[in-house]
Amino acid sequence: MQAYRKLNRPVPLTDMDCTLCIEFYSMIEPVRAVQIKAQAMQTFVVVDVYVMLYSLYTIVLDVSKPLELIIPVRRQLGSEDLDPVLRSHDVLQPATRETRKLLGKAMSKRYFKRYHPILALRQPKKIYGNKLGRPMLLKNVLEETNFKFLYLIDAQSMLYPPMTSGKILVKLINATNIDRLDIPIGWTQESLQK
Amino acid sequence: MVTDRSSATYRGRWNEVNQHPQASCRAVHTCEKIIIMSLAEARSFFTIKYLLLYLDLIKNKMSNQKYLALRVCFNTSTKFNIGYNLAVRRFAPTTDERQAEQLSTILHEWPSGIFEEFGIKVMFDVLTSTSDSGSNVKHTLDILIDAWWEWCISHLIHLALTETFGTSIDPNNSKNVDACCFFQRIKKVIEVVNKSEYLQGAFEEAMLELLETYLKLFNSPQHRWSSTALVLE
Repeated sequence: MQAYRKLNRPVPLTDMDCTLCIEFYSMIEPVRAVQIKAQAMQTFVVVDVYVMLYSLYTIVLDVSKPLELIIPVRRQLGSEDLDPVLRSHDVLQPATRETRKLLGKAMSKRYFKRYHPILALRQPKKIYGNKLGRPMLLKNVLEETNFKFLYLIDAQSMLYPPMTSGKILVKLINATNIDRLDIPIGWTQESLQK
Repeated sequence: MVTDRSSATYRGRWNEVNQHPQASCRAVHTCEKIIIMSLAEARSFFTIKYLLLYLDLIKNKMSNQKYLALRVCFNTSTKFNIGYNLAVRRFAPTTDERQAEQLSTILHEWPSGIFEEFGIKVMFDVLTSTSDSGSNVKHTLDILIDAWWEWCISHLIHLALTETFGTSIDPNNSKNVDACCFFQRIKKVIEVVNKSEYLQGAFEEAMLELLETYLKLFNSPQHRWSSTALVLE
C-alpha cells in the first residue's frame, strides 16, 4: 500500500483486506502444514499427521475457541517467539467467520465424520433403537461392514507406545458436534457418545 | 530419491543413458533386482500382509497428458519405511476401450502386469492402499485388488480447501463469494506489482523501510492450494 501511495496511485487494497489476509493465512497455514507433512516420503509421519489433525479439529476449526493469528512477516523475520496473538471468533471479519465454519464442514465431510456416532455408520437405524422411549443398541458388537471408514490412521497411531491409551481418539469423539436432527429418537448426545 | 531434473548433472546422465541403451537396460535390471530382493526379505520376515500401495493418476499441466504411477511402501527386518516407485506410464485409453469396459478394469490390468514383474502376490502381500478419491482408482484398489483403502490426506485437504475458499478453476462454482473475490483481488495486485518496474521498485523501498529486508511477492495458479498460502505470505 505504501508503494502505491509513494507513486500517487490509487491503492487497490484496504486495511480490511490486510486483516482478512492475516486471518485467512492463520486458517490456511495449519491446514497446509498437515498437507506438507502428509506428503513426506521415506519417513514415518502417520503419528505426526494424526496429532496435527487432532489439533486442527479441536483448535483451528473449533469456532468456540479463538483463532491464533499467524503473521507471515513476523515468521519470516524470525520473531515468531513473541506472545501469540489470539482473536475470538466473534471479533473475526464476517468473511473469516463464514470461511472458518465452511472449512470445518468441508474437513468434517471428508475426514472428521469418522468420529461421528451416526454419520460414520452405513445403516445407523439398524444399530440405534429404542424401547419404550429408552435408548437401546440393537447390535452390541459392530463389524467392519457397519462403518463407512476403515480407521487405519487411528489404528496405526495407537500402535505407537505413547498413544496406546487412545486418549486422543476419545477426545476426537467427544469434540464431534452432533446435529440434533441426526440424533435417533429416544437418544441424547450424551448417550450416543458413551 | 530426489532428482533435480533441471540440473546439468541430470541432463548429462540422461543423454548418457540415451546414448548407451544397454547401460540403461542394465541399470533398470539392477534396480528391479534390488526391489525384488527387498520385497523377498520383507515377505520372509512378516507372517501377515505387509505392503502399502499407492496408485495415482497425474495430469501434466503443460502437455495435458495423463500418467499413471504405482508406488509401494513396506518395512523389512533391517530397513524401516522403504518406498519404491515401481512404474509410471501414459494413461490414455481410447474411446473404444472406455466404452468396452469399465475404466477401473483398464486401471487394474496395468498394475497386475507390474505385480507379476516384481513377484508381488496381491492376495498374500498387499495390505493397504492409498489414492485420491477418484471412483475408478478407488474401485481398482478397494474392490479389484482388494486392499484396505484410505483416502490420501493431501488430496483430501486440497479438496476441502478448494470447497471452502471457493477458488475452484471455474469461479461460477464458488460457494464462498467473499473469499473468492478477496483472492482474485490479492492476485491481481501481485500481478500488477510484479509486472510494473516502478511499483516493484517502490515496493522494495517500502519493504526495506518498514522491515529492513526484502520479501518477494509470490503468485500462484488458483488451483494449487499449497502455493496459495505463499501468496498470502
